[in-house]
Parts: sequence; C-alpha cells; structure tokens
Amino acid sequence: MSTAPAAGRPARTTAAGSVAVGVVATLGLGAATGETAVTAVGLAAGLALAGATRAATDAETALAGMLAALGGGLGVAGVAAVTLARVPWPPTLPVPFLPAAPFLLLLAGGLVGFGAAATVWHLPPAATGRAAVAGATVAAAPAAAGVVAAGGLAAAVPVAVVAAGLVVADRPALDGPALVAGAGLVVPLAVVDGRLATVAVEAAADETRRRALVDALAVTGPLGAVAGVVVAAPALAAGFLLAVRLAADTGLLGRVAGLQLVAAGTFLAAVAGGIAGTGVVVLVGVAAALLAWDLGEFAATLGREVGRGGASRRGEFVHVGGAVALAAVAVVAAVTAAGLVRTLPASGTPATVVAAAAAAVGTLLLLAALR
Amino acid sequence: MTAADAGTGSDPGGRFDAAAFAAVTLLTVGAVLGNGLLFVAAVVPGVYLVAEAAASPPSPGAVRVERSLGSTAVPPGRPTTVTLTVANEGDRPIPDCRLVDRPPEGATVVEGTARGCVSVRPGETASISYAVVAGHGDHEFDDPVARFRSLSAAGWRTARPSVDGDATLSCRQAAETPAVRSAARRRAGARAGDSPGRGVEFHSVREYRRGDDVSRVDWRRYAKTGDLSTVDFREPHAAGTVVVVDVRRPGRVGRAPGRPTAATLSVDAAGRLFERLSAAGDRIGLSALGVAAADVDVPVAGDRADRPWVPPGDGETTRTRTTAVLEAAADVAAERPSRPPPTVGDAGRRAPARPGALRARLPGSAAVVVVTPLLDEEAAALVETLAGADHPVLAVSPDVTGGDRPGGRVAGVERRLRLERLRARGVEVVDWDVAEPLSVAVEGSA
Repeated sequence: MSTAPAAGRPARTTAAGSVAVGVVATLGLGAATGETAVTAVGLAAGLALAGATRAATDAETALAGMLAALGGGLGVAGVAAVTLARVPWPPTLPVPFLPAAPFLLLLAGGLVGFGAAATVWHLPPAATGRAAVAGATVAAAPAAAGVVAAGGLAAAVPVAVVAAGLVVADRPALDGPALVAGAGLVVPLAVVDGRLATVAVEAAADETRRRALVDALAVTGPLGAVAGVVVAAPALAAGFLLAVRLAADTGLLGRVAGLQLVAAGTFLAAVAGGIAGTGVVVLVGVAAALLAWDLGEFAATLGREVGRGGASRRGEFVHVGGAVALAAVAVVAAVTAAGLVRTLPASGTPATVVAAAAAAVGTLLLLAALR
Repeated sequence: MTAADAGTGSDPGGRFDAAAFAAVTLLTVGAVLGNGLLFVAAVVPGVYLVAEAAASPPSPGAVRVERSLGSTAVPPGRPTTVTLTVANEGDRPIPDCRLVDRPPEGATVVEGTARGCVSVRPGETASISYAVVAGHGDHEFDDPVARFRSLSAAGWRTARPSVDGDATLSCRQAAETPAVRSAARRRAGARAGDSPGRGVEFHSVREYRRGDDVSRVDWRRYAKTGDLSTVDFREPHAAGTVVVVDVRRPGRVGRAPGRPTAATLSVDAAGRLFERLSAAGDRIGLSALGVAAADVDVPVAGDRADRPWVPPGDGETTRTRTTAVLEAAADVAAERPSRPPPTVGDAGRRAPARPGALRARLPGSAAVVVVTPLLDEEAAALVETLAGADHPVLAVSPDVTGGDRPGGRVAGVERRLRLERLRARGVEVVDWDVAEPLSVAVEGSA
C-alpha cells in the first residue's frame, strides 16, 4: 500500500507454514523416489550454506568460509555418493549416462534447506556474494598447495608470484581469517594424503581402473588429488551462492528470496520425482510446491502491508485454509486427468514432441511480453 | 463505506506468474521426456490459474468502518487506545481485509501497530486496536486505507473508507483541571510584602533622599532635630511568585521515542501553574532556563545569562509576555538533542543553570516555583541556591525516568537522590509521575 513502510519481514505463521510444506514435501518426494539420504544431504548442505551467508553478514569471514566449505563438501559428497552407487570406482571416462533424478533431488534439497534457513534468519540474497567470496578465500591455500604438490618447484614460482601480487595489491576480498582457516586445512591434508591414496587405489573395482588411478595420482601427486577434492567443495558452494546472488540481481528473486527458493526447490523435487516415475505422488508434490509458493507470497505481501506487529492471525489462518483447499482441489483434478489420460492411446511421435515444445516456448514468450 | 475505490491491482511477481511458469515447465519437460505424468501434472497449476482468474476481490462497499478512541480528550503524553472496527454488511464473506489506520502527524503509536489483517463473515465485525500518544493540540485522524483480497488473495482492491465514530483526539491540559490551588495558597502569592515603601502600616524610618514623597517626611522629627527623615510603610501588595521553567538540554528527553520530552511537560506544567496562580490573584513572574531572550516573539527583558525574564505582575503586559515566553520555551523543549549527552555529569556541565543570574532579578522575598525534571545536578543546585537565599521554593518535577533500559533506571535513581536531598533541606518537591495528571501529584504532596 502507498502508506506502507519500506521493508517488512514475512508474516510469521504463514511463512512458517510455507517452509514446513516445502521441507516435508521435498523429503517426502525424496523418500518416494528412494533417495531419502541424498535429499537429506542436500538439505544439510543448503543449511550450511545459509549459515555461511549469515556468518558473512555478521562479518565472521573465517566461519563463513568454513561453513561454505562444509556445505560444498556435503554437496560433493552427495554427488560422489550418487555417482559411485552407479559407477564402479574409480570413475573413468567415458562416464555412462546417469539418471538425473538423484542429482535434481540433491539440488532441490539444497534449495529448500537454504531457503528455509534464509527465511528464518531473514537473510538478504545480496549477502550470498560475500559468503561465496569467503568460501573461495578458504579454498585459496589448499588450491595453492595442490598446484605446488602436482607441479613441484616449477609450479611453486608462479603461485608465489600470484600470492605476492595479491598481498601487494591488498585485495580486501581476501580476508585474513578465512585465508588462515584455509591454510589450516592444508596441514591435516598433508598428514593423510599418502594413506588416502593407498585406500583409494586398493578400493578400485578392477585392474584396469586401478592402473588408471595410479597413473592419475602419478601426474597430480597424492596431495594434489586430495587438494583438488577439497577445492571442489568451496567451488561448488561458491557456485551455488553466486547463482542465488545472480538470480536475485536479475530480479528473479524478490525480497523474500528464501520463500521463493523453498517453493522452487519443492517444485524441482516434484519434477525429479516425475522423471524417476514415482506415480501420483508427483501431482501432490507439484501441488505442495504451489502451496508453498502461495503461502510464501501471502506471507510476503502481508509482511509488507501490515507487518509482524499487526493483528493478522485470523486472516492468516483463513488464507491457509483456503490455500490448502485449493491445493487439494488441484490434486483431485490432476489425478482425475491422469486417470483419463491413461485410458487414451499413447501417441508420442517426435512431431508431437516438437509441437508441444514449440507451443510451450511460445506461451513463455507471450507471458514475458505481457509483463 | 462511502469513499470511492482508490484502485485495484495484483501483486507483482505474484501467484499467476508462478503458476504459469510451473505449467509451462511441466508441459515442456513432460513433452520432451515423453513423461505423461509430468505433462498431466500441468493440470495442478492450471487449476490455480483458473481459480485466480475466477476470483474477484470483495467489494469495499459492503464494509462499514468505525473508529473509537478510549478517550477523545486526554492530557498530552497520556496513551489512548484506538480501536478500528470493520463490520461486514454485505452477503459475501471478506476473507482478507488489510487495514492501515492513519493516526495524526503529531501522534505516535506506542502500543501495537495501526495495521491489521482481518477476516470478516457477513454480519460479523472484527477490529484492530493500538495506542497512541500525542502532544498538545487537536489531532485529526485520516481515513484508513483498506485493501481487500479474495480467498486466493490473487488481486486486490484498495479503498479509503470513510470512518464513523471518533476522528479527533484532543490533547489539552484543560482536559483535567489541575487542583494546584492548594499549592498556590500555601506557597505563593497572598504574602505580605516585606519590602518598605508606600502604605499605611509602619515599617521603618530612614534618612531623607531626594525624590521622596513629601507626605512621607517625618515633619515632627524635623521640628525636633532639624534632620529630614522619611517614614517607610510596609508595601501592601504581595512580593509575587516567580515561575521558573527549566527547558535546558538535559531535560529534552522523553520516556520513550515519540513521548513528550520532560522539558515539554515542564512547560505544560508551568503554563498551568501560571494560569492557576493568576486566577488566584497573585502577581506572577516567569523565567525560562535554556531559552534565549532573543528567541521570544515579543520584546522581553533578559537576565545576566540572557534568559527571558518577566517581572511579577498581574496586568495584560505580563500575560502577553508570559505567553510568548512559554511558547518559545515549548518550541525549544520539543527539540531533542541529535545525540544524547554521554553522561549525566557532562550534560550538567554543558547546560549551566546560572542561579546567580536569576537571583539578581528576583525580588527580595518573591516565592519561586521551579518546574524542572531534575535530570541533572545543575537543576538541583539551582533549587538549593534559591532556597538558601530565603526564597520560599516549591519544586515541581515531571518524572520521565524509568522504563526498561538501564540508562533510564540509573537516571531515575539519580533523580530520586536529588529529590531526597532537596526534601532533606526543607524544600517542598512535587514528584509528578507523568502517567498521572499533575493535579493528583500536587494533591498527593499537599
């Protein structure tokens, strides 16, 4: 409204409802797909990344960097778990085509976890940039160690030159505590690297793959390989955080970015469930995603127009009731439609696929033009 | 509700867009992957789109809004409850009506907020309530803004409903007649003047000075001794009462943001004391600490510290000057310092009360009523100095200390110690808790 003050946090009851719907629906879809663990790991990674963002807003760069590395590490672990469950160790090129659903569920979990924590802590999406920088700073020392370990003296010289250049330029982004925290990671790596390499080589599935692994380790050195994995974690975290930042900057995410991410994650989980072929649960998942969006949107406008101090409890309950009823109607309608479609003969020719895709893209363009 | 619609609209980036995006995504993914279930899942956002297209926000015309104030006339600084009641007189339920009341400029919301979201069935009423505090004057409430949404909250319709019931909050001290009569009678005015001069009651004899009235020369004594001497008689009128209002910087703080400052309350109290004492027929003077004489609209005398000084009197001139000084003081009192003084001691040093300058102006035996929040050492020292100079002194002190914050509590303890010290020295102090009317405080101390 014209007289409303600038920013208001989303209304509490409805926002909590939105987050709860998103988390429960995402975990449920993960369970229905048989990927509960992966979804939970994604949620945890999202929470850790939100924690990193919160620490970054409090100028706790070292903590932010470590939490970002933890979140990224969980993400890497999730990807590795999904991959190694289907591909014999060590994965060698060409990697076979893997099902997309577990990866999507991992990402969905991350989005929902991040969004939920961002809603509770009221994190501005702009702060994710700082957390990403902190994560990248933590990765700097292990990356340098890995390069030196793989390349020897020849690699150490350019690394030293770059480091000296950064110190001289006094880049404010390269925060001291985060850099020191990253350097602290190098020490345990140096202790365990040889043993890890032995374990990895012994775990290889067959002789060909073992030889390939030994060859790869010979090129990078054991420390280089481990450092590469350690660097991948903050890199993944920084990628996620920067993507959120980019989405916020391009206007895709509003001020209540957290609630939007929860709904988007739930929707992604529903799509993943559909791709995995879990059946009618998918329809419930899509409805849950839209319900989470509906409640989140309501909480946002209510927070903006009335604020948390205003009396709004009854209005919120009435809307939650209406939104749940609407979602239920949508599920019933979709289940009915699915039942009708099943009775029709399938006719999925390439031509119809192209036509449907063209129609969809056209609709999208029309909507974009209308806004 | 008689006002016209102020507009309709929908929320940017709202549900419609999300549902459309979901539908397009599901159709595309379902078609590309040949996944029938995902394709069919587009029915779910489809239902949302249909529901939103079908819904229309309720009409504002079915709503009657009424505002009621806990009390339409209160003294400044006293909170009043405002209740805004929405009655649904139509036959459709109103699931989502967001109200933003617009309290007057001069009023501050101190409890709750002037906003709310209500849901009203036909024939029902719902209400939001909050409390405001306002300064002196009449305060007009604006019509609230109301925004209506359907159950799916898709689009909205905004209106400025006209409001039945109370629209004006009147904040005046006259709202409660302060019974300071007792204080006036005991302390100020109606005192026999002690200064010698014209009159009928013998006071003293002194040497003749040029200009003395010839009727007051003691001719009998001249006949006996040949010395000219003048008889002084007791002055028949009261020496008067001087009201000293303290609006120096340390007092320009309120109990909470938006509440009147202690200095403002002091000015209010001084104004009322002035009215009461002049109604009782006393000759009243006025001085305002913390105000520059040059800032007063009408020409007034100043004391050595360049503070306005209105000598005791009961004429129209005195009244005009007093009113002007009080207005200037009220202006100064409302200016909060941009930064609070770091410590109370510092504040005292920065805002000297200069009792010497005041004493130089005070008639010898005038009674003094000092209205001061006593928030710094200087104010207490001033009262002590005046009492030490044999002026009958009454101190009236509005109390704005306390509250939840440690600073307020410390200031409260310090103020109480000053009060106790003054009372121990025999000064009568009226401790005025500003949540109570002044009359209660004065009666209680009497």
